[in-house]
Amino acid sequence: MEYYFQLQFVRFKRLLVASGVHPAIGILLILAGFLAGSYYLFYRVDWAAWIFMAIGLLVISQLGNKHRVEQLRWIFPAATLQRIRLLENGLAALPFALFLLGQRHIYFAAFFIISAPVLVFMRSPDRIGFIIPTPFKRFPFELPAGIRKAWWMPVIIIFLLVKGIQVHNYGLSLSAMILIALTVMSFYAYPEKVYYVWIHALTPKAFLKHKIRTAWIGLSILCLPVWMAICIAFTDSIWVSSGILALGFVFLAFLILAKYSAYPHEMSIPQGLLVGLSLWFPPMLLFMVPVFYRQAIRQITPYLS
Amino acid sequence: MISVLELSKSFGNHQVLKRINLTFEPGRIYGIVGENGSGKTTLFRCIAGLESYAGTIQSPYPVLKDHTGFLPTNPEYLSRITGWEFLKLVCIARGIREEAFEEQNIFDLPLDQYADTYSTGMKKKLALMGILLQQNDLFILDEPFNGVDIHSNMIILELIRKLQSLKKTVLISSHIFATLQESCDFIYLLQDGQIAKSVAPDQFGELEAQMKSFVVGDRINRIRIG
Repeated sequence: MEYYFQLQFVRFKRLLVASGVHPAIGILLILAGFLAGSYYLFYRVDWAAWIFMAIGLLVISQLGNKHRVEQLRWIFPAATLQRIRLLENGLAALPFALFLLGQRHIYFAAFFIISAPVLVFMRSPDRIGFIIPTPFKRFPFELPAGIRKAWWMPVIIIFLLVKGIQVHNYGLSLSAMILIALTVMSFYAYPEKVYYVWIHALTPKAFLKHKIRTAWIGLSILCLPVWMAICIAFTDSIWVSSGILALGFVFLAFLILAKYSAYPHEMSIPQGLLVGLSLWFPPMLLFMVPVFYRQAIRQITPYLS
Repeated sequence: MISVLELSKSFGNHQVLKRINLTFEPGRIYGIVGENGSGKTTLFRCIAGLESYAGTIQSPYPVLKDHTGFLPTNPEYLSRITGWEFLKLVCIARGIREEAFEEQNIFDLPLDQYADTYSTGMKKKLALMGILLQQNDLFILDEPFNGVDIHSNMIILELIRKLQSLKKTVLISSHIFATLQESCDFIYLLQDGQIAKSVAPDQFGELEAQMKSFVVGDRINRIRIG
């Protein structure tokens, strides 16, 4: 078990090196990013503890994905596997729990610490063989696969929206819409296998257009009902809500371009930082969109010509 | 006609394919045989356009890959995508409006289940269905019979014959020589990245005997069994 965790650390360091960053600097950057992002969330958003906990649970649930657990089960005896999974979830929960404690959200921290080991024993619908129906059956894979992966997200989104309207908290309702946009963006964060780009009988330009168009349709279907509810409940803020929705569409297209700019590899840490900076300071998009677009065309051309 | 001219491929310093010259005609089935590591899959990936290479591939199509169906040895599927959704995806990718997959489900696959949970053979059959539905003109089948049950192998053989009658070009690699003997018009022997031999049907038996004596030799006696 000890060797397994040593190997995980070695893999993590190799990932950082492959991303073009010295491991020590990479770890510092991740730590700084986590702290800066968390403080920013708590500074800017009401009900930040709820959102922070949802993000933490999302991160922990990724460790229990079916493929990963099956690989571990193949290698380790059942008792060792359980210890590994408990320790993994505990380690992943630690920074979130400590931050919540630092913010004096003791109940949230306690709930979080209890949830982390409980998630080891929970089975997602696809692990028990249940196929989650989605409205995106006829759409390319990102949307149906993403919705199935984030099957529990609607509960949080509906809670945020309804609670926000109930207590007349515009920020809380708006966070439901932002969470949808972020969730859809996460569907497009990782590069697919080369075969799934190669099969398209499209020029690189048409391929990117097809991807963005499909993502926008998906985002519209998921976001528009929430946007309409917010507009009805907070009529004074229609323009702000619409502006944020429009920004969501722009960011989604930008993220797709960013993903394919590194294709077939994952985005490097410097590229990820540029994406993060552009999201934090949107005027940077004016410069970054053409850069990523040109790089994306260059990276996917070998598989589409 | 598709012509492969002086095709070479290297991975770093290791040259996998050395100046390969081949021609493939419509309505013909070509078998590629060779040991593991001889370069069969790399050759297929180069023809499919999945690998860069030195040399030229000429075809009557502006973009050959848009008319090519490639069946990999081990098809990889995206997680949480059903068989039906995979077939829809490969059709959309080629601009084909098709949804009647159940009635064309010749292998009786559970199309409502996630494709990445299929068995090895089922994954292969789903990928084969996908490239058939795309109405390609060139079919590259890398080990199509591997891991597939005997009944489905019979269906695959018949499908290959049907493709031939439809004037499609089919390239097949297989470790099961008998399946190539039954279906191919020509067999190419790939050795050390070069085409060592091209053989017509009347010489298939001779090629098999040669391969057996070359590959097996006295190896069996070298291992101390029991």
